[in-house]
Amino acid sequence: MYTLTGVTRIYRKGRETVTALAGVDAVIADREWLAIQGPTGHGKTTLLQLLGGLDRPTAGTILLDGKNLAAMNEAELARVRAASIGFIFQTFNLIATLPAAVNVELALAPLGLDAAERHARVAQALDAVGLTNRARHLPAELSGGQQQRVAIARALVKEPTVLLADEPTGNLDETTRDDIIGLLEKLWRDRRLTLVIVTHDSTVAARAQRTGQMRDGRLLFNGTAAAASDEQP
Amino acid sequence: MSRGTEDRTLRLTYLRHELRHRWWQALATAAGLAVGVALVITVSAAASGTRAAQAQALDSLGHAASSSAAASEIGGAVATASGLAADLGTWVAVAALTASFAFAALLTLASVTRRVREFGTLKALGWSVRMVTVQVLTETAAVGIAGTLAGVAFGYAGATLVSALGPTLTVNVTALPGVSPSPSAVPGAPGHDGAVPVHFSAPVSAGIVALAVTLGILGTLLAGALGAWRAARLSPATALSQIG
Repeated sequence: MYTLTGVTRIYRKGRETVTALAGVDAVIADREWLAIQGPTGHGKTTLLQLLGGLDRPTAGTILLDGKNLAAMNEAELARVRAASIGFIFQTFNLIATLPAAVNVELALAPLGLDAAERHARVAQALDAVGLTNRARHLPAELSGGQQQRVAIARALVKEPTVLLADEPTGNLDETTRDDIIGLLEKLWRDRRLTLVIVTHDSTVAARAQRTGQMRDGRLLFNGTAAAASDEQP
Repeated sequence: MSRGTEDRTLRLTYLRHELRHRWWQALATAAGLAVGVALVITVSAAASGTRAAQAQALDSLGHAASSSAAASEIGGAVATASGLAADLGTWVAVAALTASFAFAALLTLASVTRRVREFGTLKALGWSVRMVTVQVLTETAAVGIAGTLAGVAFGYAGATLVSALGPTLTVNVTALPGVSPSPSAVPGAPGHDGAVPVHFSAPVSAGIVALAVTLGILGTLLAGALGAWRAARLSPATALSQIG
């Protein structure tokens, strides 16, 4: 479960300051599917990065299962990301020189598993996204939808509790978008994940259990900035 | 099997694919280093050969000159010319090595800069700063070692070529009037006309090879460390926001 209190992120560029998040309060329950919408530049991606421990807030606390991500150093955050958090990006972010299976396997490198277990988990993850026969293909040899499936396999291969997706269907056509969202929904249910999706697409947001709106660095539920723990499904 | 060993297996798989798909860049870096190392070995061998030839010539002149003052004057002139050539060779070698390291460092940094987003992705997957650093250093070291070893081979070949093509110098000695050669005198001995052949060869010294190898590998690792430091110091969020 995430508990965010007064989360603020201010970027400084020379004399200029940009307030990306202005005191976000929110509770995201375990196994919840939350969609975050809002105009470009209002803090959606910043919030997702803070939830994932990719960045630290200027002020406020972010508790993930009781541990404050805001107070952790980079090494501690790396361990949390390695064990508990899976990421999916709009541009897939697969490593172009590596076959699909190796791309997926990279997510297991920090966990210290032996090779046999790594390979078994990779095979299982690729099977779960329907790409067993594409294991040796390079990203450039795959369609956009297939690349996003590999990215999903990479995010889930370590069996995280949280899956964070930043515009996961932003680069896909409608049919592929529906396939990917259907797959994410299935994995969310089967694996009892906490799923947070940032999206501009109302069709995607409509599939989530709850939708928040980012406006001027604040996260609003039903038009208010309440943490809304009582709104959880 | 230990965690370290397992990490290494995956790391080497990563390295193998990287080198296979970015071979042109690895080749350019390795070639740059190889040229630097080869030049150091060849030029040092040639300088060493020049010094040996000088010593041989001085020895002949010492025998041939009728007075120690003349021998000293002639020897000094030869030594100066030879010293200048050797110094020039040393500077050429240093310049070549510096240029090749700068070339390797620039290519390494350019590669890391292009791959910032990739390293950001690795960090998002939970790779630590240490893991990313070691990966970059492993890749750089592999290219550096290959380039350095190729440079040693080319350096030996260059020195062999210089020895084969190097001229055999001749020190001509004319007997001074009034000086009679002794019955046992050899050509070039006091009072005895003659030509003393001075063979030029470029011997490769183990010390120079060791120095070139050390500098080649250390230089590459330094460039890799610089690249790794640049890659590792970026926050994952910043790295992921890079275009490319």
